[in-house]
Amino acid sequence: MEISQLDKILMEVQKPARYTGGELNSVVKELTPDMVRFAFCFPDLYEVGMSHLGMKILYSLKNAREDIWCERVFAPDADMEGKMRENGIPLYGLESFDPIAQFDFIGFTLQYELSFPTILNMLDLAGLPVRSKDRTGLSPIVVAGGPCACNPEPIADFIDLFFLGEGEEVNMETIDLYKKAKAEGWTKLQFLEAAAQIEGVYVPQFYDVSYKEDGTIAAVTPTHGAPATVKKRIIKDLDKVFYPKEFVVPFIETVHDRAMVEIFRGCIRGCRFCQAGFIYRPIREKNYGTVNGSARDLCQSTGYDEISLSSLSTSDYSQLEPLLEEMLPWTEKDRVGLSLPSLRIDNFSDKLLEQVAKVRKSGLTFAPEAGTQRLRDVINKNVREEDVLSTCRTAFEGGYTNVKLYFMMGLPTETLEDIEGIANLAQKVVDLFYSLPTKPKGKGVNVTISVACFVPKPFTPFEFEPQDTIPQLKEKQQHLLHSVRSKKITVNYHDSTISVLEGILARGDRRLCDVVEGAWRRGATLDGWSEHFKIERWNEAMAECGIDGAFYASRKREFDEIMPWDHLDYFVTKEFFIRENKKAHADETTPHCRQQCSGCGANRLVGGRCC
Amino acid sequence: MKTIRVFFTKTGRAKYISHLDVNRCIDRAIKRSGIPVWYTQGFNPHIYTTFAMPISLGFESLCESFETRLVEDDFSLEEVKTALNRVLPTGLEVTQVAEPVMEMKEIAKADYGVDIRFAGLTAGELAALLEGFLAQDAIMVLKRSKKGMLDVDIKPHFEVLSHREEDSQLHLELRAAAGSTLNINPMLVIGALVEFAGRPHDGYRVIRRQIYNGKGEIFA
Repeated sequence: MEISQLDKILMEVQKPARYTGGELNSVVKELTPDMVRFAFCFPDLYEVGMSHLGMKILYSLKNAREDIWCERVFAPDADMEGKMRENGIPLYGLESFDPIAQFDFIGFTLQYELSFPTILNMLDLAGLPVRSKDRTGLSPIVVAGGPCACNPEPIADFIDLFFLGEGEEVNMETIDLYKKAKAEGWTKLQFLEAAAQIEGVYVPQFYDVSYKEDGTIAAVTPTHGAPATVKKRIIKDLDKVFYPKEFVVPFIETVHDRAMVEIFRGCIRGCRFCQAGFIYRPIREKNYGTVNGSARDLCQSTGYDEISLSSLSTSDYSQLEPLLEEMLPWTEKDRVGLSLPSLRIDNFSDKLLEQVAKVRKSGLTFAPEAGTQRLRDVINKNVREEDVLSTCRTAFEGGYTNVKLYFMMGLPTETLEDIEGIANLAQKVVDLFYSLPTKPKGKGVNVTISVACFVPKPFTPFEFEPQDTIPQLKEKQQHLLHSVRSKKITVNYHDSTISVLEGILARGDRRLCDVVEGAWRRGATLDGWSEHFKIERWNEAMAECGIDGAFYASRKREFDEIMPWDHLDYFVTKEFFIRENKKAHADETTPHCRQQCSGCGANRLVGGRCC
Repeated sequence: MKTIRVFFTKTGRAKYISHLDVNRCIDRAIKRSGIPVWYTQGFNPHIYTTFAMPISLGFESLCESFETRLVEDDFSLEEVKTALNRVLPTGLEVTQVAEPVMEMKEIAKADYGVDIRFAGLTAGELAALLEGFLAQDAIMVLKRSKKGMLDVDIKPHFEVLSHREEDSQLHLELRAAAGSTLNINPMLVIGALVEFAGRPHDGYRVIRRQIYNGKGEIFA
């Protein structure tokens, strides 16, 4: 397709630069006969997708190979989608403007459950059948990876194969296998059978799922020679793995519009609600020299004036001090702001605060997650009230007057007392401010408490837990509002309807594929955006399929129940999750990995010790 | 320190980049290029750039420009051009770098190439349409102003320098008032023509070719 064909519709849509490519460092290649074409699809708007680090890594990695051309594809917003459908323009790659239905691979990244219908919508916009079984040719092969691939069952009928774990190696191995398949004229089935033998590749159609009368899973049986459990992939040595020297620099402003460097993968903490803390284990750090080199390359090639260090918990990086010593001289000279997200409260030093203050002067954000010490112990968020208050004191003395505190409600064992604890903690922060003789003069304090609804996730000690129902969550929200008495405290909370739907999808099984399709056929797409989301579409789809959402969201699982994701091996063992769940109910904490190994199983991936 | 004016073109798909985004893109390009520019001295220092009459989103232009300041006098203007062109994305290209001769507020007129498609109309019908359109005593349009929407006669403020018709396609070379006091966006002319034709167009393209001061001298 030529861009001139788009001219007429682009003048009639918001932010047309989302749809025209041509950004600095975007990769345009000359097509050769043996080239593998890969459409990297992010099932959300350009602004969201272009902020995502994983996409940047895999885009550059693939394009570094002469025989692969990877292009970017995002979900068009409603106005553009309407114009495309009206004018018969299929979903195209931003680099070539070619329809992605012609590509060899269509790959989706699965960042959050609510994006599932957007995937179907993008396949449909591409002109392809949404179900794997209805796409019979060898190409395009529809693949998906990312955090939600750890329980991909609610989209198992749509995707040909999933990549489990980190994608750098398994993507390439699969592409190489495909080249062979194409050259030798294999069928799609032959290709998938061979791909299922690659470690980290999960081909859902090769697993038969049977159910008991009570609706739980009886057995998951592999067929076509596929392995009984599929192991996730990790990169063992992060200093040797590919990291981009260039990022595509968007014209329009995106959510995270800056350079990013990874400092480590995995997390030592073991917060029991946090899926990322378990599925990315074991912890592997990059050497600070490697990080500094990547940071310089990226700033030079992009012209960004901000760089952020990316990880699950920046202050747990053991080489943070030497890294900052390397980075500060040149970032200051080149006027590049250094941002340090995801800092923990308990090890937040004055020196760090000083650094953070240089970049972000607006306010500080901390996540105590729960309002009382008992509940923080239950979730293993090893942060004490003193930590919160002493960090706030440092912040106030440093001139800050805005503090944002993140909490969750609906956590296992939670009572109304724990909800009051949220308000009490916020009040203590307000009182602390006014008690300080050194407080910033002539300014009031603002404490914002942002309260999310807890969603139990697979591969966490809480995967067995019932999620609070919508009425329970609403009651707790009201209780919180009534417990807050200061005008200095602002309360934000999430829509419990969306959280419960997330809960259904997160621990869903294959029977939800019909629900996802039903919701999409009723118009669900871009459901992460409140202006698009309508719960009625989902409720109708569930009713039509005879699915009871409560079975997935608010049902307690026994420890011996077969979970829909039990045949996927993320190396942290179910025995460990059971142990941790029992400790949670006994209000017992578990030390972090550097204090003591708790035997989660992830060390099997790196041959013994991991931290 | 020396103020310089950088002239550049904005063509092809770059026409879909809004002014704000071009501004940010140029800042980053300057940063990548290593040109020694002056940063503003406020609370939040940033590269000083100021743009003259940025073209509307969706139009191409051969005569965009911005001012910035060099802090090293021996850095040549030719070097600025080469360094920027090495790092600018496709569609944005520096054509000339010079010390400013005029002030931005002197800008008074601009030339545009305008293509409008009316599917199904012959060249003859299009010529007649244009003739009728221009023969009107006044061409009234609704124009947004600081005081709200105003009815304005745009006829005195633009002229058709030349025109050419093909079947389904009308091509105009337009000169129109431009600048901060009175600006006639070619969309106003296209809109009035469409209204006169009594039928919608089937697409259009606009390219700004040149801008001038009140004496008719090319903006420099």
